[in-house]
Amino acid sequence: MLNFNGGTAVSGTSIASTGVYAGVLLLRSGDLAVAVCFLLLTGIYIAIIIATLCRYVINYHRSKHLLHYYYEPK
Amino acid sequence: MSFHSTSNTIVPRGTNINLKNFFVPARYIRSNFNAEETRACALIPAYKPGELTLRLVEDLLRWNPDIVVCVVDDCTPLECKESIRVLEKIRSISSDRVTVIRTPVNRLKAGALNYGLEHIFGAWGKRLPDVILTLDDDVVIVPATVRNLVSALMTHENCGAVCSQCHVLNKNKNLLTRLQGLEYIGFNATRLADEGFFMGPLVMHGMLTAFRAAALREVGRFAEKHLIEDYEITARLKARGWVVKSALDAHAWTIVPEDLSSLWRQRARWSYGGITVVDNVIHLRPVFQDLVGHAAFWATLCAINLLILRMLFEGGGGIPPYIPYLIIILSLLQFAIWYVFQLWLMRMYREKDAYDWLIRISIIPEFAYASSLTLVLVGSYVFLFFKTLSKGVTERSSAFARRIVQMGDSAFRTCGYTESWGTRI
Repeated sequence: MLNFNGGTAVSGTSIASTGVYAGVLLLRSGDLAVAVCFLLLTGIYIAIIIATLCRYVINYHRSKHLLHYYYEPK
Repeated sequence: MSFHSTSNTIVPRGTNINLKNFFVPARYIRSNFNAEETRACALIPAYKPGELTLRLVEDLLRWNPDIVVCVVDDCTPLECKESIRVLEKIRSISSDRVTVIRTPVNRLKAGALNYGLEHIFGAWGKRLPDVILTLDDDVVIVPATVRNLVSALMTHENCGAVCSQCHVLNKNKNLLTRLQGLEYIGFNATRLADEGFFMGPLVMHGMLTAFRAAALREVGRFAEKHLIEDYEITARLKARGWVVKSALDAHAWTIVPEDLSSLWRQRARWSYGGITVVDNVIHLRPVFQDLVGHAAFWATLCAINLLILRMLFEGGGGIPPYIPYLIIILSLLQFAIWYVFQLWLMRMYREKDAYDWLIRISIIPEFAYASSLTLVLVGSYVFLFFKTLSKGVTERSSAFARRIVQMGDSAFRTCGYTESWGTRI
């Protein structure tokens, strides 16, 4: 459940749904400051996800040779 | 170059934050080591051990001809006949490589680990082990697990600890265990992503971690009466300048909670324990990922509240429509990236079956699971708030105030939040 790299704080999948819901609400009515806050927040979340994925992909390729070996417990 | 302070002053290495490492992880410095000359000792704190503990000890000895195993019986009650029988069986293993010691009183996991460390450091004298492995008593390993862990630890020069890949042994039990099985694959992925980023993954888990003995001696004992001593000692290792990592080819399996109540209690302990580690830390680098998580969570909560308040009390206002559309698009993009990656991660899940695929593809069970864990985190914050307020209530306070604190403590304890338990409960 790797949504973003949030340590022991729960990586809530909820920001995606919350973001969509907030966007819809803001379309109907809303405040500019709140809208900018949400925009910043969703931007930060996506930046964290992309950064985490970049690191994952790089480390995965660096350590790919270790992934072949596998046993299952009997 | 000397990296580590031997005094009590914490001297973190490389205090500059390298922005490049957010996207491109740093490489760890490699070094040579002689596997035959490396001495390893496995430390297993056990309380009411079962057959899995016996199997673990036998497997360790069978597959690692030079390892020494120290089982610390954390004062298992003599009435637990089955566990006592298991301990007897371990004692009767005809090998001078196994020691079973018993704590005088129940000291919980961290206490038992410290008791074992005192024994190792005392008994081994000048020939101290190079590597100390800490294992839970219900872990299942495979032949290469320990060898690969030790190799990953010793081939990286400044590495203080290396943890194994976590898998769920009882994942087919029910939906909850399957969800945890999928979640653990995410944990392993997060650890890999964190390699070379802010000194490595956040937590070297207590399930199976190999510590460089010198690093362990430097940071001192495991923190007793702490909710998650593994996170706490990882933070201390990092604060001393040691990096940590996970070993991709060291696999281990554990038993996870099978009912919601046990899972809630476990996660409440992890969640509140994590908050206390962040709360007490001196340097922020060792807990950076957690800080990001907490900050993002609170920012989201504040933004939602602000939105609701503005809508309730001020009604509509004019905002450029592209902003809400941008928010919706970014949220959907985030979801799409997350979903594709989750599907891709399934290739790392060798034990998966059609049921696991169904859970993952359908999203809903994992969404509900993640949301319930968010509630656990909210509870931890409320508990932290309560504990901070109740610090002001002393013996001199009014009977009413003391009664309120007592009732609050009791209510939180019922919900799984307490400061007084150890890892074993």
